[in-house]
Amino acid sequence: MKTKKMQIFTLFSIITILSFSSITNASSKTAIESLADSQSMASLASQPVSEDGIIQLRVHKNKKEINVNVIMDQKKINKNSLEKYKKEMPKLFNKLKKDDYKELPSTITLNNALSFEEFHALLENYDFEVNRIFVQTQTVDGTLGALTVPVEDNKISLEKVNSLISGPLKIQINGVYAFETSLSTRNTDFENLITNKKVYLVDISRLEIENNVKKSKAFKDVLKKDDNIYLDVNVFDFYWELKNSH
Amino acid sequence: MKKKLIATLFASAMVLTSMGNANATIIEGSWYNTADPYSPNSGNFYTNSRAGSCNDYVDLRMHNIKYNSSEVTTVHNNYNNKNWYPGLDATDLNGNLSTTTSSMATNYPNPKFDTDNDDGVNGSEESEFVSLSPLSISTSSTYYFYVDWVNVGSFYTCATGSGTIELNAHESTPFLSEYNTADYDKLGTVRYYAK
Repeated sequence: MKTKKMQIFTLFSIITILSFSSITNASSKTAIESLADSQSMASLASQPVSEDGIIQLRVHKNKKEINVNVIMDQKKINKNSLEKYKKEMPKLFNKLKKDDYKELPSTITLNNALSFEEFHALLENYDFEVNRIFVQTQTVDGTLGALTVPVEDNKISLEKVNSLISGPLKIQINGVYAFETSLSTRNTDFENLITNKKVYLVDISRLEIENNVKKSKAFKDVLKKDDNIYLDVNVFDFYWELKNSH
Repeated sequence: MKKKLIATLFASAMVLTSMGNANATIIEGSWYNTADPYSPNSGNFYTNSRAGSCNDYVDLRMHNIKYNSSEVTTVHNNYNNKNWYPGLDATDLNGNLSTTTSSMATNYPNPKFDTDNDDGVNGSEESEFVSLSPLSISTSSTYYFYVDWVNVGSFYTCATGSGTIELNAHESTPFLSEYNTADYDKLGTVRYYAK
């Protein structure tokens, strides 16, 4: 008899917990949205960007600049977290499109480094303009490195690349692993990119992060004290993390 | 904030050569035994100021950057215990060099470049990176950080200017209070010239 009561009680508790959690889920904000609730810069800096907190904000003040970097916690790096974060992007795209944003600053991480020819071929299928590329490099001792050059008219300037790698060391180019661009919400570029097999992640979070940081009491308080302060949000690619996660 | 003791800092700069023509000037220097325990112990640097058809160019090369074992331990401990990430930056003190269009290269592990998306409206800024995998930094590697800038002078068409670049090692620290800035250690300064 006692056992039966216990069972009923347990069942009741489970139902209560389940219904409670479904209510909280329905009303809870996404991790990026909760940035706007930050009361102080310290609380802003400890806010997660992805649901599991592995992608997070690094905030520091740098003279006239509040520098907000979106990074992955290297101590907890794993492929599953990246996959979940990736799945949040289409939802965010639809939200920003609904909010009537026309252009979304984006950071795209590729699955593998592409030669300049392959990269130019990839661009032929799209309307967006690349602002900057990130290229994996290697020195003669085998050490990997990276470089970034700005891009105009969707053509990588070999002059710029060759100028940058000229110096006291012999630096070899391995290929393009990421790029920054601005994606339109009025064409199919985003949809086509997320299904492209050469593309790993299309991160469109910068605008939303910027908006939510600007909405926060934390940032408004900083502005009240010094209205010359500006916000610099960097959403980095996750190529290194992708290649080093399991 | 950390005091910047540059007592042991050795930085020299001199005009090395004009490369046989008036269109390029190389200024070089080095550092040894830096103030902060996380900064690389030694390194060399130079600027190459070059004439362009409209704006000039300034190429900075920081190379031969080495850590000793105590600095590597500090970098690793700062990451393990406090979540600090190391990096380098180069700041043009005279606002001539465009960071928006600059190019950067380094072999620090997992570097993330700050590529300034403010179109230069906020004046001079750092060209910088943070290394997000500090545990891969070791005494056996030799590091470099290269930056190419367009010398846009005061943002007038085909303008150009002379000035000084400050080189720093920094550690990006989690935000604790509004007075908590990134921690900087000056490695040296180097001049560049209008051609």
